[in-house]
Amino acid sequence: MKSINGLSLKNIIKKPVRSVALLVIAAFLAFSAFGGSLMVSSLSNGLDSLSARLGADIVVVPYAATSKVSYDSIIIQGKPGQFYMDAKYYDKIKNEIEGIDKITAQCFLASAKASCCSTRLQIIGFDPKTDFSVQPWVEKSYSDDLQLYDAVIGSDVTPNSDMTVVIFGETLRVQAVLDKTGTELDSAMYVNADTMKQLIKAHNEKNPNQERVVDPDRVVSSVLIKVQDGYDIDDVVGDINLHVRQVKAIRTQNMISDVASSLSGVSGMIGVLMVLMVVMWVLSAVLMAVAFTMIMNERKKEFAVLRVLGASRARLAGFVFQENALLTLAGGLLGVLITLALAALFAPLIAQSIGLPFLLPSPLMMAAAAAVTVLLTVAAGALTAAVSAYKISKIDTGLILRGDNG
Amino acid sequence: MKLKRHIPNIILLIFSLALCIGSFTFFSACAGHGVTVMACHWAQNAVTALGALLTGMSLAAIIIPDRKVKAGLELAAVLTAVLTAIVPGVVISLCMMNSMRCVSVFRPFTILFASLTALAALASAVIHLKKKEQ
Repeated sequence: MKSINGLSLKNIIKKPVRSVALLVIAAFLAFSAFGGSLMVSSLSNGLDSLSARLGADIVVVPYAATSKVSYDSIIIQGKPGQFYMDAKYYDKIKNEIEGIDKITAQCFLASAKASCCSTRLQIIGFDPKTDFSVQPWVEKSYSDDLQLYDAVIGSDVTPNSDMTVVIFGETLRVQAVLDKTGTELDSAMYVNADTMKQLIKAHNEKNPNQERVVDPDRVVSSVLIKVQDGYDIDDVVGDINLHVRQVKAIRTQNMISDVASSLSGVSGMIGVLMVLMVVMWVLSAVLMAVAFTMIMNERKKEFAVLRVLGASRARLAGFVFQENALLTLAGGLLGVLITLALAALFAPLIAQSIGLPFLLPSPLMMAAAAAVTVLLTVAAGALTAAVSAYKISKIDTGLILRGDNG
Repeated sequence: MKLKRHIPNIILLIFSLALCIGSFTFFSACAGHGVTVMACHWAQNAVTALGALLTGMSLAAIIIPDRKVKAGLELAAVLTAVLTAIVPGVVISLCMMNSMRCVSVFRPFTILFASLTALAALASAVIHLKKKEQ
């Protein structure tokens, strides 16, 4: 019985239809488990990176901007859009409101449909001297100060081959590409306040009929505030809204929770999807068990012959187990590889379709999830094999070979 | 069973046709606006042309009876399909942002169908090389 170890492999190769059917079921099992877990973790990663990114307690925007449906998406998620207020409001808040630890202003400008692209690019100008929101994030990729016409781009923006980007006819030097956040901030560009002023001037010259910014030296889009320890954030928000006219202060947490609540609606849907996937997983496991049992019943005579040739019951059970393990391992690996390939190829399309922050887990996390999925698939296969192996070990050789086994 | 003999080549033909027609229809690159021609337009043209070449090769592999010529055409199709997969983004650059259609739709579908075409061509070539002269 030396050759029985190679028999499992030969059986798999010589019966391609049977083997492929079991392999496909195992691959489907792995695909549903791994695909579902990737989807859920990508959505939750996206929301985490969104909350971690802003770093401010309060955002102040021009009151007129609050009538824009998507003003919070512009600030939180970096969707292309622009609004402005006089910089005097920044000075007023800075000088007259108590409880402010850090304060900085940002300026937004959405590019027109440039020659490079048919979509708009959000440009965010920040003041390196006061900034506490963008800089810590930029510093992960670029530690020097940004100079005039320097830019740092989100991970989804592809610069020209000479690492430049042309916006409104102005050529910007790309100094660094930021880490992925899974939000539309990945499609944004960051410049310092001086570069922003030049871009706004260029925008005004190139688009005389569009919304003009009268004085680029005297406008800001939003003011970000970090509240001092010991002060209540809601009190500071109320103070600003009471004493500074024409602006609206909003607690950042409320803006994020708006995005989060839309996400929680989706999480409910994802929850249902997960339940469906678990059901599919269980059904696949049952299907695999049924298919394997049927195959084993058909092969009773083959096993009886092996018994006559001297294979022990334990050896026969091991042989059945080995064959199933090989098939489920191959199927599990195939399912995981297909999921990984589809995730790598279609992540941008999925993110775009669901319209929510979507950030795939790190390669290490994905490798761990893939390993667990393959183990689960092999375990499900092993369970069905154990049942079949037990039945095989009980066969009565004489009855089967005489054809009286029913 | 004449049809059964041609199944691998028919599968290859279906994938090649899907690549050729899909590249300018259901998974086309970005639509230009006005007179502007997008960077990705040229990548789309190249994929369509290579898809047409692959379709021609697949048809020839069905028509030509000699198995060695068939295998030769299929091996050439493997290389052409691999080249097609790297056209968007590597050989010819695409548009600037990942959110754009050429990056989110055209490139993944091209890679997917080109890979499937390469696999089908490779499988057909192996079958024809292993088959004994009849």
